[in-house]
Amino acid sequence: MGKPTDLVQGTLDLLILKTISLEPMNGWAIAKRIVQVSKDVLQVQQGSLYPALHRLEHQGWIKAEWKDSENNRRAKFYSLTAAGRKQLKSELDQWRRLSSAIGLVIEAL
Amino acid sequence: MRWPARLQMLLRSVFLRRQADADLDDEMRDHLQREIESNIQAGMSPEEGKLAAQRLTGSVSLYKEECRDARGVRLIENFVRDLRYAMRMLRRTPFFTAIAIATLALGIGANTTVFTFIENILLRSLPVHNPEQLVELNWGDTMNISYPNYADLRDRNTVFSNLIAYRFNSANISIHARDNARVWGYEATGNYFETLGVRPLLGRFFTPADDDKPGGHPVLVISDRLWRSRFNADPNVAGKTVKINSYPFTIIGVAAPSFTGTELVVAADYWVPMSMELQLEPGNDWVHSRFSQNIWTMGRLKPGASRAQAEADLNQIGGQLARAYPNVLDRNRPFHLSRPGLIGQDLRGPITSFGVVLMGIAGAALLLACINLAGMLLARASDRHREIGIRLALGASRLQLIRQLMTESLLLAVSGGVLGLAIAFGACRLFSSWHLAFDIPFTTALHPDGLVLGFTAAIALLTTILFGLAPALQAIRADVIPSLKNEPASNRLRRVGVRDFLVAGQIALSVILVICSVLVMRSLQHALTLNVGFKPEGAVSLSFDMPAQQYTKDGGRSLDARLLAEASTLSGIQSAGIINSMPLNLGGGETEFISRADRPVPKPSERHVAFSYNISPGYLRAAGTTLLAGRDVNDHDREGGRLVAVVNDALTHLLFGAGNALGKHVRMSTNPADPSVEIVGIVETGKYQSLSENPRPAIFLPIAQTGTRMTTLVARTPLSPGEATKRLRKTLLDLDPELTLFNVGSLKDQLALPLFPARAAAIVLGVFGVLAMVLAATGLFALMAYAVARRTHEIGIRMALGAQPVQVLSSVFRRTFLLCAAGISIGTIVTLAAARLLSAVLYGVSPRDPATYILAILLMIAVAILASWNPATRAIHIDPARTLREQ
Repeated sequence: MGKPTDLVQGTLDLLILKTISLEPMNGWAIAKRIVQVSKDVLQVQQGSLYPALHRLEHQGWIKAEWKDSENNRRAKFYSLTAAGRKQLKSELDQWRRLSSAIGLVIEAL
Repeated sequence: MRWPARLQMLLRSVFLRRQADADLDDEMRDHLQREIESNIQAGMSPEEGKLAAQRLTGSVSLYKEECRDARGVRLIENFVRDLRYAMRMLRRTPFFTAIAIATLALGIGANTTVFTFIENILLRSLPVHNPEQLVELNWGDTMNISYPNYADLRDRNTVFSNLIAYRFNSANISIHARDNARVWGYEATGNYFETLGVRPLLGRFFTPADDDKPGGHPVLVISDRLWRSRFNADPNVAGKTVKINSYPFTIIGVAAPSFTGTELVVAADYWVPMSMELQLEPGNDWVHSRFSQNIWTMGRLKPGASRAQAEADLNQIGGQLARAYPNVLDRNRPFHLSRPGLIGQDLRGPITSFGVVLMGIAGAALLLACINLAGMLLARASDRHREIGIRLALGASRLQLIRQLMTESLLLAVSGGVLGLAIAFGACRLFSSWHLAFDIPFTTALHPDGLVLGFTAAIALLTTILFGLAPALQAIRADVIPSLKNEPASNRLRRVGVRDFLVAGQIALSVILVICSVLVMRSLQHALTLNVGFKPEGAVSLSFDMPAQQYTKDGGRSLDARLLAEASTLSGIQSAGIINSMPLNLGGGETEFISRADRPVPKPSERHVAFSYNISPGYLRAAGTTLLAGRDVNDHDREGGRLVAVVNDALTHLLFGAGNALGKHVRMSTNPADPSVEIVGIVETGKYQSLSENPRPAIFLPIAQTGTRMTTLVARTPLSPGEATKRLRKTLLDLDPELTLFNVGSLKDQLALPLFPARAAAIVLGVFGVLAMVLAATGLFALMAYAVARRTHEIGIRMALGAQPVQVLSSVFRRTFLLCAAGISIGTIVTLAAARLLSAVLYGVSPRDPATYILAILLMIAVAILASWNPATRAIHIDPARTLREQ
């Protein structure tokens, strides 16, 4: 069974890493933040978000912690690990190279 | 990636699965809650907000599964589930499981044991610096070389950074008075230790400076074993003086426990510089003789020098030497380098072929085991075709089913592997604890190590694929529709196939091996009661050599006389006598020319030889040799007097036929001028070289008229061997505290050597016999189980129509009976035809002994019945009503 993918898998990883690089966040907040910042262009489905979070955690790039959040509720917060920070940097570099290359090609034609 | 973190997460996911799942549930609930709240804040009613949030969330269980996948758990979870299922399935058929595991355990155990042998003996390197650079020099077909030739090779070669030489020899080492031991060790060249690059445990090793002039440096290095057993691991042992062959040597160092010389199969206990050769072996100046080929050489190749280059270089020097010494050296003797440790090609060649043959047999056994197991699994698969059909219909993928079935096979193989490893460890321990009945310290230690474990794991996996894959593929080919409709998978009857031949062959093979091993075991029993020409029960013996430095001929005789006088008056000793070397002992039994003195010396082609022994008065009584006529040698038989001899019955028959031989004369020299010997006594014919020999002539000459340095004291006594030898040892050492005793013990123990070939044959045949029998049993079992499974439907109908159990059995098993009968007959016929080959290790049992054959055949029939018991009971317990309803 295929899953509905809104984003290329690697791109979602990059977005998640970037989003939690500022502060630890829970899953719902990550999805909302991506929607907001992208001005409602990028919709992150729950069915893509959580498997991605678990995959990133499995790879050791992010770590999860249950913490108290606002109005006394407990939520699972995700934050970057040192390895995750390194991964984010390399993915960002790669993304910039790729997008500028695509930009060059598109502008030239 | 960060393994610790990943592993931790993985372990948590697997073992705390419930908690991980609950965690995920909480997280999802939290997400939903936040979505609802956010919707309400955006102005929806609580109802609307909830619905919208749920619409957005979709199927929670689906992506929960994906999250689990993302954690990398699924594979493991599936495997654990398959494993549980496999265990349940195997537990449901304990008979099958037990047979399968036992077969695999035997097969894997045999292979692991043989591999340990090969790895320990053929593949192991010497425990020295850079062992791969070391080579042993074989010249022609032997490693033996003379010292002058070694020196020339050492000085002229361009390929070795160092060439060492050593001689393996026994010596008497005396630590204090009355504390002497016969030990084996090396006389080695001064560069020996520095070439090997080994370090001493204590003190120092000798160097070229310790080997610079003949007799110059009486220094000694001892082994760790000797240091512990004889010097109580004394840390100040360096500097102590001990006597070797009565010459004082100073201990300078102790070798590390791992270093027991440069040959792996024999352990050295001492090392002395080769320049001390004349002090160790007085009168034997082999260092200066190109004829005395008695040392071994080993070289360390220069970096970059290949073996081929080295051989070419050596052959060139060999050519020069052969031209210079044409009467000593043969021109056509090429050099050949071999891996060190097994006395050059002398031992490596035969051991390699032995290892290859053993590995071949063990491999074939494992292959047969796999084929039989595959047969058993095929039978199971056809029993299970309904189950598999249902599972396919319910949507199991064929891959999942194969994985499932292979997990079962893997479980069997791993259990068999673990058990097989236990068997191999046991066998190696048995082999290590086994002492060869020789005076030479052969090392038989086998230690399974990591490589062996890896090997076992690899063959366990290989067997899984060998016996598991084909049946699994066969099983999943089940057609869904007929199996759901309770129709039999296929009722085609098999023709006579390869498996039938294999099973018949296995039965034949086990009949052969069982007959052979029973024959050898019966013969062993017989050998213990066989008349060997002396009575081993109730007698002990002690051997010693008289050192040439102290004992002249007369001195030796006077020691013999005093020893006999003392020993025969000792309490508990009934009689005592001396012989140079006991019959059936290694190194004894020299043969000498013999002929009638009243006839001319015969032509070379018509000459006879006899085993010749030197005995003292009283030996015949002490050894229990029956005197048939005449007298024993006595104190009046002296040097210068009339030459006399006691001969055996076989000799009198050979030379004098049925006539009376007493008083007749024989000559023992081809020179007619030499005096002849008068026969004064005739004794029974015994065994002299091997237990299976035909009667051979032997002659016993009085020690007083011949003289010998080799002495074996034999005493008949009702005391325990330990007590008797203790008293005799004291008597001997009172006479000369520096004597070194060996081969001390009961005469019965000393029969271990001549019995060795038969014992070894019995063990090997017995082990392979059991293996072959188990294999034949599993093969039969597989065939029959398959037959029953395939014909359940037919049997049901027959029984419904009134067939009796006997009729059912005969119809189902007719083919199997035929196979058994064919296998047993073939095996019996082959053994009968090849019986002659066995006679070399059989004593007093005919290789065609009917009782043995009947016993073996009955045993095989019993095994066949045992193997068919389970399928047979299944066949006659088939419930006709149920079968007819189901199929």
